[in-house]
Amino acid sequence: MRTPSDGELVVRARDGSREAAAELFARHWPRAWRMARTVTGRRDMADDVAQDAFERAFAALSRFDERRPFEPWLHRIVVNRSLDLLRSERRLVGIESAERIEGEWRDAAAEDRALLQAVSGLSPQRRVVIVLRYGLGLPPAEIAELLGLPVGTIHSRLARGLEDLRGLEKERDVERA
Amino acid sequence: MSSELERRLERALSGAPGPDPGVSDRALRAALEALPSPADRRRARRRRVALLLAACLAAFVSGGMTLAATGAHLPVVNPEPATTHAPPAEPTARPDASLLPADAAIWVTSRGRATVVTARGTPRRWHGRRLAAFAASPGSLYLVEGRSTMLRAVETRTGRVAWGRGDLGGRPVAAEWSPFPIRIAYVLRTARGYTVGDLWGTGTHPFTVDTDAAPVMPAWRWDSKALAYVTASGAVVVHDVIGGANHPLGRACGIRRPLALAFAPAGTTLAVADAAGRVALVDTSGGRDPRCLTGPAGRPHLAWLTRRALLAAAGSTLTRYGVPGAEAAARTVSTGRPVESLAASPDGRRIVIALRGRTSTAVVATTPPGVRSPAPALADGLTLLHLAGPVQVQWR
Repeated sequence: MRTPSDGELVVRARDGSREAAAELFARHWPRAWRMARTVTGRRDMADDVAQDAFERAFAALSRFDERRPFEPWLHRIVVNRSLDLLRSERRLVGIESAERIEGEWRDAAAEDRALLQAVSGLSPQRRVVIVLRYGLGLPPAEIAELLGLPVGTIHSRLARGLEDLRGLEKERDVERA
Repeated sequence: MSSELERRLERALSGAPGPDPGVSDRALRAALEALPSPADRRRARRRRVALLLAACLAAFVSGGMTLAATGAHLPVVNPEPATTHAPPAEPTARPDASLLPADAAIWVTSRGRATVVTARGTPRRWHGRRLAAFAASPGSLYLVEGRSTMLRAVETRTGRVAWGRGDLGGRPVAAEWSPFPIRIAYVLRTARGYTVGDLWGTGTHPFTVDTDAAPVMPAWRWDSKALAYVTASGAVVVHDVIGGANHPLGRACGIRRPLALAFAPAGTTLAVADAAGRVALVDTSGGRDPRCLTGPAGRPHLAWLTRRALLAAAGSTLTRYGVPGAEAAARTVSTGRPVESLAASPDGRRIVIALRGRTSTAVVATTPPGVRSPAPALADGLTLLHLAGPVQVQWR
């Protein structure tokens, strides 16, 4: 049997089919959650953000044009919600503490944890392009579409983000020495 | 060509584990709940048809009129959003700039109606509908209103209803925005008693914290990540809104029936007060033993000025506690009339106090008593309003 497209599922979900909506959820939840996790760097935030994004998306299905791809629309909601939450969290606690990073990424190797800590210290604008590019493997053009920015801006934020990370790595090496 | 750093980033960032199955199940349920119901869809369809007809009619009438008048451009649609709010109330006082800074907004509720006093103008009745719960967000950007079984948020500037929920499972009787306006705590009256819950400032993610609570206003910690509430049995509990865990605090200083809670504006100290004049300063991180203070008896109202200065009102008195070290210094002044409500300005330099008289309650902006001040009474302030009935004040 042919697998229904996202557009077909959207139409059926809009007409009240919970099965179609559940199928749409199952298809996109893992990647949406992972996107929220990589952007926010935190499991608890990812849980909230990904759930909220699906609630918003499903509540707005009647306004969604099923001829357009569903996933980029959903991912845009996820990224925007993640950034909103990160901004409010930063106002709350400033740059995340090393302890939190240790706790959140305890499965990662020590060297990776140090790098992840450096990533979490980047500004949200640079951090989001870094995690979308290297965490999810999205090409710059797709990131640009997702964030509604010119591709040139994405390239420049990537370059600056990498530059910041190299600087932080150097500082860490000097401290160790 | 990817550099060593880029390869390491790919490895580190892609190594994240997936979501927990429990989280996925809960998210699926919430997402399915968010799907519009058939009735919603029918309503939306009817609304679209009605809007289309109205738009056609309006375009026909106003377009014809405009064209008749100018013979040219289409009319501009009124950019002002529709509002359900009644016209402002008659002025009762003009505030003094020294007691009301330019950015101050004092919200006063009486008999279910809200009035706002700012430095820019005269007191203004927010609207005439009777509310069971009301709270202004920090900065007064949004208001949350409880009426019947509905809780809703309204954008203050435009009157636009940002969201509304009628599915919380009770009648909202109190609400409180977190210091960073990302969450709202609420108290519901239910058939079983009182329920404490919280939800995001966006109106989503409602969470029932405790279905067996006491009718005491919950208090938010400064970082908006925890709230304290009182259970029906009189225990004080700190709820971690991020992790969802409840941490009951031991009974401190002999307080068996707490009537007021207030977190310090920094740190983890929670002030708990009862009607016997007992005030306990509890370190909710468990680091120090509770500090016990004693003041005049009466229904308590608490307001922190700074992390080391607490005001407690009870009866016709106001006590300032200075807590610089192990010893707490206290200074009690007379307010002349019973205190009905108390709030401090965000900078802690001024207070607004509701004082009950024989026929009405006066809302007064003034300065808090100094801990070493010899004055026996509260400093004369500026009377902002006189209102009938019980009054609650909030300074945003």
